[in-house]
Amino acid sequence: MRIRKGTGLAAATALALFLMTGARPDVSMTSTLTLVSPEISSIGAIAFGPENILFVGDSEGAGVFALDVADDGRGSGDAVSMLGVDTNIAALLGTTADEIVINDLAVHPGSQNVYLGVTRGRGEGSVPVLLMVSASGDITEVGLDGMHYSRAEILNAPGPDQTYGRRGSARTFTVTDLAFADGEVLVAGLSNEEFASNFRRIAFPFGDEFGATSLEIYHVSHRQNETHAPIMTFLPTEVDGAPTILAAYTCTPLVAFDMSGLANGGHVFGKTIAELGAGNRPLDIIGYEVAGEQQILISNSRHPLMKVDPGLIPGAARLLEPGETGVGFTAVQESGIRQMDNLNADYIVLLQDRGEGLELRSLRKDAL
Amino acid sequence: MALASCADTAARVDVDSPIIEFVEEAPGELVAVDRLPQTVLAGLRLSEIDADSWRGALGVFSGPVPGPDDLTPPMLGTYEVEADRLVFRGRFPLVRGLQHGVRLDLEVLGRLSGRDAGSGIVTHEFTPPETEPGPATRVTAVYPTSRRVPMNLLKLYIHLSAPMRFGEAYANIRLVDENGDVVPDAYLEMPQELWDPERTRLTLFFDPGRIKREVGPNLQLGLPLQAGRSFRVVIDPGWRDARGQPLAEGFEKVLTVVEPDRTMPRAEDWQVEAPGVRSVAPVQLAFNEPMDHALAERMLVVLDANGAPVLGTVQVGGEERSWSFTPERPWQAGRYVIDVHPDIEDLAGNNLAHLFDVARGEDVRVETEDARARIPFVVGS
Repeated sequence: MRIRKGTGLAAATALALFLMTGARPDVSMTSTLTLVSPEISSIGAIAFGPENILFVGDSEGAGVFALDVADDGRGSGDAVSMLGVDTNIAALLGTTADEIVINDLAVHPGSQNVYLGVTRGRGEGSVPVLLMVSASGDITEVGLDGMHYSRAEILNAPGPDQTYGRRGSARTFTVTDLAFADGEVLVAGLSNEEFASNFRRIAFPFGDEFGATSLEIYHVSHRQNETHAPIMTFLPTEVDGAPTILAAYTCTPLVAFDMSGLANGGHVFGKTIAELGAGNRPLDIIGYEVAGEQQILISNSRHPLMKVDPGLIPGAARLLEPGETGVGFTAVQESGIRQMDNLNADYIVLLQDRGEGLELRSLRKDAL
Repeated sequence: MALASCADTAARVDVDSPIIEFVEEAPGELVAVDRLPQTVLAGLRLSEIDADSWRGALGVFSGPVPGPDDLTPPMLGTYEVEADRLVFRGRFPLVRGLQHGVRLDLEVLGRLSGRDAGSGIVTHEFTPPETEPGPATRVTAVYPTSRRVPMNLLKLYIHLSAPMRFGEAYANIRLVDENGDVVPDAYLEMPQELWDPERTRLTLFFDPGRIKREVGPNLQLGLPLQAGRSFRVVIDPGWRDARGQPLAEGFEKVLTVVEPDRTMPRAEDWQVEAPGVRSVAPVQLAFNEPMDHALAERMLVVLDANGAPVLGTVQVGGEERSWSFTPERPWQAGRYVIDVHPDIEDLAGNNLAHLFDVARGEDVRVETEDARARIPFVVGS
């Protein structure tokens, strides 16, 4: 099993993954980003793809941006930590900490700089800001002026809302998570109108007119076809050689979807492999490697950090009866973790609230 | 020309010391340092100075000036020598009504300019004046407007008269039962909140895990709404709009809960009433149940005999039980169809292609294209 989201692995491993994902290393993906100075309405979920490319989910603008962040630094392999990250960001952006929303975090696999998708302000004049935190603890704004980019539409086009006789564009698509795998940007989210069609795949490099293909995923649970629940966070991975999405839902099941042989617009049937508990919301999921073993971490709104052994997934039984909890997990006694990513070979980095404001913290993988 | 330099506290200055002030002038607001020696200004003009160095010399803070051991960074912005003054413009608009601090380090400024700027720290505090509050924001509608709702009601739309502040919705909207007890975990709380782009309409989903039969939350907590009972959706007046002002008043919507709706809407059961030829009267469609408001507005298209869309405006009728379409130009005699996209939903999230919640053995699903409905009508004889 290999894990692709936010790998943050050593360069050699990153290259190996790159080769396995089918991209041709002799063709620069960055060269396909031909537009300049993106105008982004909102910066929600973010994830690094190949080369220097950062994917940004823009819920308000119903698009996905591919940005060339041109970050050629080499990471040190050290830990990163910062107390009061929200207070520091607020000071830098000229406001107060309660006006700062940190939507997501992603680590550049090469430089190990921590990128943060931020909204400055919760009211009038709120603006998206992309920030970078270096290992030395400097926060800088990643300027979009002059930056190379490309963009894809998330909402299907043409849709019934693009005809006539309707009031404007009240419809949005809130991106809850995105990732790059096998030459595609995968986008999970939820429309503010119809409940259907909440998982999208977009071929990368983005084409001129091509938008997202909707994927209907049927989450077979308790002898029912549970369709269309919103995925909060997911991890593209591989189970027994098959590309698989491990998805955590708002109503807390953990579901594995086999993506092999999937046609555009097709239906996928998922296997519920664990119930993470009611009244809980999964916040983030990452995979990492320690001492040659793969591990999966899930952070939650009410429950502590959960560690799942991916080796259990291929043989996991499909949950059929109410009350079954499925694949076991180990609770790691850390709570308040909003976001996380692989920092480098030794550490994961967390955006965590331990009751005294938000902090960036690094945890050793071998100590989890 | 300075229009205002408001709420300035007197900087502790000597006669020849620089003066710092907050200035609002076209095209925007700025912080100006006046009375710097001409030699220093000339030196600054000639030097190449990076942003961090500027901020070390003249730091502007969205709070009081930090003490010597406080590492709070100054805000981002640009620096320029303009005429006889040094000017700072914030990267973002300054927060109105918030006390700001400015710290000018003359020694650092001297180093940057290559001239003697004197020594010492000059500080200054100011508060940009608040903008005039406009009329208070109100809840203008909550959909569905029907009082009777099925037990498996999927969503509510809350319409407001002005844009709202982000991040406060779920704390200010409660589902309350007949005894006044709050129903816990009733809604799907998305950290991103589900707004329209203008942030004047909030979509509030009931927790789908509680509505779907026999999934974990449904088994542990049951449906949030119970048939035969009455609930209220209570919107607190403390919910703040985008300008930070609370609502003019709270809002309550009563939900009289009936049995769950577990059937797909069927367009064949809807009644169409054709308009008269050469009139601009609407074509009317009566649903046989209330439909989702936003989707009813968007999912139906009138096509002429050639399949081309007719231009006009849509209106969703009372309790979302009907729909009408008024053409821009008078109707021509001929055959038309109302093309219904299968994603239109009833109040329980059932659409033309499938049920929201499929029970054992009743897996009814239609391929999406097959589920598209076409309702014909004829104008004229």
